[in-house]
Amino acid sequence: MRKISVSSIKEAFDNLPSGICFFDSAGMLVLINKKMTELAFALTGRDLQYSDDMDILLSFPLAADRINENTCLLRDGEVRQFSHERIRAENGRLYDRYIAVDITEIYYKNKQLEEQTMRQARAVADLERMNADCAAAAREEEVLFLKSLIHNEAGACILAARNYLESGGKGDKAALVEMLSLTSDLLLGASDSVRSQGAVSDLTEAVRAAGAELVFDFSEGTDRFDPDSLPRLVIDTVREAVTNAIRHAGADRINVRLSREDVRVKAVVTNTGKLPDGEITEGSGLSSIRGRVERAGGVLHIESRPEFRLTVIIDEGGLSRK
Amino acid sequence: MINVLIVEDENIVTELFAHYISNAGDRYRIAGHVRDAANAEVVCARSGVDLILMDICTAEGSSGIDYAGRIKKKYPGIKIIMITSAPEYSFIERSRRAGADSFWYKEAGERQLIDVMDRTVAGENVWPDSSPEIMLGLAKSSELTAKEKEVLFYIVMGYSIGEIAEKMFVDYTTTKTHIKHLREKTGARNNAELAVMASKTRFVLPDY
Repeated sequence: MRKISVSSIKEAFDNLPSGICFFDSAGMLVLINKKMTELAFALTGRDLQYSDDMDILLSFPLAADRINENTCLLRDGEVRQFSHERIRAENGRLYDRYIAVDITEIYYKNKQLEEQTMRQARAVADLERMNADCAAAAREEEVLFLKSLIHNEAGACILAARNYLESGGKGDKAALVEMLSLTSDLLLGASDSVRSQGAVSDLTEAVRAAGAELVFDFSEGTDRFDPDSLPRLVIDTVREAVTNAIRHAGADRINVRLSREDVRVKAVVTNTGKLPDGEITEGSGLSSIRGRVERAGGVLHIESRPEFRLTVIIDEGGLSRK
Repeated sequence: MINVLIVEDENIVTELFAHYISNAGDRYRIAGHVRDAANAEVVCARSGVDLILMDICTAEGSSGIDYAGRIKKKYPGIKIIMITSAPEYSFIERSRRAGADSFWYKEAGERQLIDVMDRTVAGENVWPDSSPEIMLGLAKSSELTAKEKEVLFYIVMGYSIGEIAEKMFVDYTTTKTHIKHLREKTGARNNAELAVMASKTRFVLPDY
């Protein structure tokens, strides 16, 4: 049977890719492999002899960079992570063991990953910002293009006016005045590029365009508030009732009575159109609205007698404006 | 006299359309203007609208395509011309499916709009062959396949590969292959970059 000699243990130690060394309880170096010797020299400029030397080594005085308290980047680009453990041998003696593991590949891979993650985080932030701004950007681009068209219109108008004046008033004055008026309208539109006045204001205008009137009022005891602050779901419900009132009842006026108590909003829609012939049958529009209201935890109530009356009650908590 | 409803959230665009329409003579009359596509149906409920110029991206985030579909179901006689300036890949196809009659890109000028209106009113359907060509990184938008565009849409929506596969009824590997091809064509290094490209160019606008 072959006996393992001290020199064969040392040889095996020397072939380890990690640096390793042991100090006895008196702080004397008892075993060190080739790699740890190289590391000690690279990091301190001298060999290790006592455990106190490890304190100097672990301050990484000659390292290219100290990555953290137990990891450093050597000048040749290698990254080593040091660890210390007190171990008890079979004979009961205590030893301090230091190991320096090569984590170069992991370190650079991690660094790559970190950079990639940062790039992705930047891209995601860009994306979120862009998604939020997308509609605005689309509008700006569109408006810019149209402003250039209006600029051309205005230029042609000024030219026509100059020609008219230079010719001593010869030419079609009425056509010129009309052209000036149109250009002025366009310029007013260009300077008043307001996208929306608010959902309720838009709806009110639409009702007016349909030849009817939409009137909001407030229940007794309710503080007045801006109907444009109503949740989108309430506005959609009112819109559906308004469309039906105009289409089926021929209503000229639609009344919406609002009340708000804490987060609970109530809207009651009636109209001045002809009374329903019988019970109101919910079409696809009203059914779809009912589904949305009920999914949002609200209540939709429709009465046909003595007059058409639609009541919607919504808790604003957790509802988005859209 | 053809009654025209303008659905457009920008006053300047509305003014320009009104200007184009008044220049076209007596055959058109503006019946109304709404900023939110959701309100178009209200105007249609009474005022004898014959033709709608329907912007796709309107106020309050309402999609002109969605409301065009609703109006066509209730009032099939009303002609609808979809209008946009966005080169979004799916707008044309989705507008067709919604039942719109014609489609016009805002970049074209006055004569083209009136021409599209005249032809649409006469019963013709006027559709562009495709959305405007744009560059997505290194690729022309026309170089992407229909499936790749669909995958891109879901990437912009923020879906994971597994979720995209589920949405498209294809397997995980096929989805990954589509993404690989998208990255190769555009030069994007990751999905986030793909999504940024698609949003920045308005090639994908999931909200509408």
